[in-house]
Amino acid sequence: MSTALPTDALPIDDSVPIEDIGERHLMPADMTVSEVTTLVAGVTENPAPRGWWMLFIPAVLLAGLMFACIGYLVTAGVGAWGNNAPVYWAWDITNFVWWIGIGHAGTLISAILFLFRQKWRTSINRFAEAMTVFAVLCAAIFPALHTGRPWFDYYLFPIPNQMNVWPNFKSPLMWDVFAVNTYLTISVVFFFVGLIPDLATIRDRSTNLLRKRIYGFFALGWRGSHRHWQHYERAYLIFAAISTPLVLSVHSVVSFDFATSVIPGWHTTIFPPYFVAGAVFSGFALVMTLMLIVRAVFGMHRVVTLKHLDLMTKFMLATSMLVGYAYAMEFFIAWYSGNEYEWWHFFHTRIGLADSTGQRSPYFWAWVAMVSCNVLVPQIFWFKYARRSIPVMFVATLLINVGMWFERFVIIVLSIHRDYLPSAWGIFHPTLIDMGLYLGTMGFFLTMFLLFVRWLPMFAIAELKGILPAAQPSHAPDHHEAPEAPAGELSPAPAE
Amino acid sequence: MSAAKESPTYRITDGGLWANAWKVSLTVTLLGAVGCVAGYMADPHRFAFSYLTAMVTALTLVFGAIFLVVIQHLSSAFWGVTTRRIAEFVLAALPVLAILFVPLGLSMNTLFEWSGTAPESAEHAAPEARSDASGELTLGVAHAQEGDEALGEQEVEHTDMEVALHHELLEHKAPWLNRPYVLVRTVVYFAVWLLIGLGYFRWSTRQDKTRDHALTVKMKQAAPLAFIGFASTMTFFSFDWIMGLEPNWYSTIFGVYIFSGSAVAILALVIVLSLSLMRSGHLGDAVNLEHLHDLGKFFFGFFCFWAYIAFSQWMLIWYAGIPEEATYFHRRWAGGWQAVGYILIFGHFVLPFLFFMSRVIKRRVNLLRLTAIWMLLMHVVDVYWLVMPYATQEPHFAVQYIDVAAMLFVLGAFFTTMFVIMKRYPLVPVGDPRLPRSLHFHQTQ
Repeated sequence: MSTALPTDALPIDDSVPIEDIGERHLMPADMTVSEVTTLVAGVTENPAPRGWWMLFIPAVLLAGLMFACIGYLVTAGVGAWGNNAPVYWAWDITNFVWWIGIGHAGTLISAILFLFRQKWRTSINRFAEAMTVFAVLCAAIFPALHTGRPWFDYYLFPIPNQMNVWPNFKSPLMWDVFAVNTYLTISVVFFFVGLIPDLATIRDRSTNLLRKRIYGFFALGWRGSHRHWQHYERAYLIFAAISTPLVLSVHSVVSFDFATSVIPGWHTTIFPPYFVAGAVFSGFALVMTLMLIVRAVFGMHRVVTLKHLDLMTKFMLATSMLVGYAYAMEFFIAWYSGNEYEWWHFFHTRIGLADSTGQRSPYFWAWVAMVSCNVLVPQIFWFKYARRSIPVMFVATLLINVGMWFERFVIIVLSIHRDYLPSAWGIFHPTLIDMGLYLGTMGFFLTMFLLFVRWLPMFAIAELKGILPAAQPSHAPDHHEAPEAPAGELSPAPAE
Repeated sequence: MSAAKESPTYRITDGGLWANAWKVSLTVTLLGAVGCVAGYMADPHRFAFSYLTAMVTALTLVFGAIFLVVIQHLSSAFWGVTTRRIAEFVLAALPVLAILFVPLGLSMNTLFEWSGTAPESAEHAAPEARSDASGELTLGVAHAQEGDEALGEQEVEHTDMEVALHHELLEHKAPWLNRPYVLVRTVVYFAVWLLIGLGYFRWSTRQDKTRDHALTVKMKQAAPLAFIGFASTMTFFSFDWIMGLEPNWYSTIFGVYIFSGSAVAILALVIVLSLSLMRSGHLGDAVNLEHLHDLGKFFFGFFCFWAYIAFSQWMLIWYAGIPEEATYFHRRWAGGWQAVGYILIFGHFVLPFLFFMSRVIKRRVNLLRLTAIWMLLMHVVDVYWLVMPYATQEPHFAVQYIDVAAMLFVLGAFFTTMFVIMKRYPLVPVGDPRLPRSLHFHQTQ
């Protein structure tokens, strides 16, 4: 035949690594299908380990703090926050953007990496999808409260009414409402569709009736027939295709909130892709932080291997440099434009050069925190040691999320605390409610997340099985199952 | 495919269409050269811009090729191994562009208003107007915005104040935008591209002979640095040679915009060339529908990405309405350029988006070829739209024979070089350890 290439009997199957070009097995070679089921479904069946409770109790307390702060804020008014002239957007919007950004990793991993056939996504996609849903919920709290009278928030939706009052469709803040709601809807549906076969697995393993009924209800009568799988695969692909533009659109629209203005530091054309890169960056970092904890608490070292973590750190390094590119462009253009307001913002307010009166920006440290955490810290992942060391990863990913919070703080607060009128300058002082609400959303997020980990399959069981070495046609040469394989050419080792 | 048995070596055989392709290409080049000479004699000003358009078109193919080759090593991808060599041939032809770039270096005074004038000349231009430069400049440009048709006249009849402020701006940028420094930078850009391009081409073709897996490791290890070097040089090349045409204008996304167009162009080119080589039977069964489908998806993704970047740039400038920024689109919305804008919106995005979305179209060879050729054409329109509005004092869209001649000459010379190189090497990286996977690759979705 025409396969006259001297292929040196190299594998045609990408689950068989070519060792001498640095490829390694993604999953442990001896991992079996039943081990995956037992490990993942076991978490929902066995009593929670002590580590889970140690996280869950403080998380619930913090979530309680969130509700207390919301209650106070709604009764007392937005004045309970520190927002004041000229900083009308402060922690609230910072937190909103931060949480929305974190929500991006989920869709990226489940949709884009799926379309790119990245097999390593199977160990993190479920995790990230769940995080997406919870992070978007946390994010939505802030603008909803910031409207001042949240009981009128339904005005944000274009509901026909007899007064013919409509939202202002020209406002990017309105676009946000649609973008975030679309994103939330699709993410929830995508998350749920992906769960169906695994819920059925848990249902089938259930020993008590209540469990069987509840998981059975949500498994939507899944029987694992070929027809079911065919529909499922197709639906999954369609959702991936729909979600992919959403990864870009949501954070682009969030960036429009700022970039459509004329404020130096807010208005710049690179904002949409820059925000998307930053969102993916921070989302990946939080996925990794939580993954490291869960991996330790539930002993999932064989599902999330060092190879997975290695790939994730590389991904973060790449997105960190995309963010760094955007920072560099902003600074270069701030000088290149010859616009003195741009110059002032970037070189006085951010990097803290003294102005003509010898004054320095009070927020220089915020910019330093942002750049060191987002651009400098990830550079450690150039080193193989750092990509394999759990403590280094853990600290680095935490720092990245701190840095990404500061990025939004720098963009939002630094840009408006020095406006065009020096007599109106001011700085932002967060109140206890600001801090309580922010911490509270973290508690709420963690609570939801821990409940998810405890009661739902935190790894995509079916997808994981699909990438096991055992699932590949080339795995068991004694079976001779692949009918299209002309002997001697396709199977790597037919001699045995 | 059907002709597979004839060419197991994946080489261009003597006496076919492809063996003689360079002759056709050379003829086109010579025709273009004649046109260029005539054009240069008739209108050296126009010629400089036409030539820049052609050079940018060819260079964006190289940008795209660097991206396509390096990203595959970076991500250890195997689906694209069988078509990677075509992008590598684009890289191998880069030296000819380096030589052809020399005339541009010589015509900088024509192309750029900041070139050739000593920065000091602005010193004595109306010093009283120099306080609060940007604020008043804004007013100055705002005048020019008031009527579309009046733009040209206003540009001619600048007030002394406006002229002085404009000088001030150029003076501010003089440390960056001055001829010697831009030339030095351009040499650096080309050095980086040649290093990456020829480096990857050499490694890959050496692997054809040696089958050395260590070369794959080397190419992967070099990939991150190559990517960083490429991204920064490409960005600043776009700033210097395209954004610099309108030195008062700036956009932080501009480098990304050029990148997005480059990626579209290279994928279109790889699709077109793969299909043609397949048809002549030179690729055997190395490239099949599965590879084309994947290339098609990538291609589709990138022209959507182009639209996303183009929209982001336009929408933010339009919405904010800051006069200094709006000049860019303002110039492109007068004198017949509106039509080109519409062609880009519909031709570069809306129509191909609707047409090419379906899996069926991506897997129909003729329709795939049609879309790819169309997008190559649209890419030329895009580059034309970037450069040519500056060829005339007033915005006035009219394609001239010089534009066509320069395009034929530069692209002709580029492809002639490439076609000659193609005859000497296998058309598929036969030594790549991931090739067997790529050959047997099937889409499961």
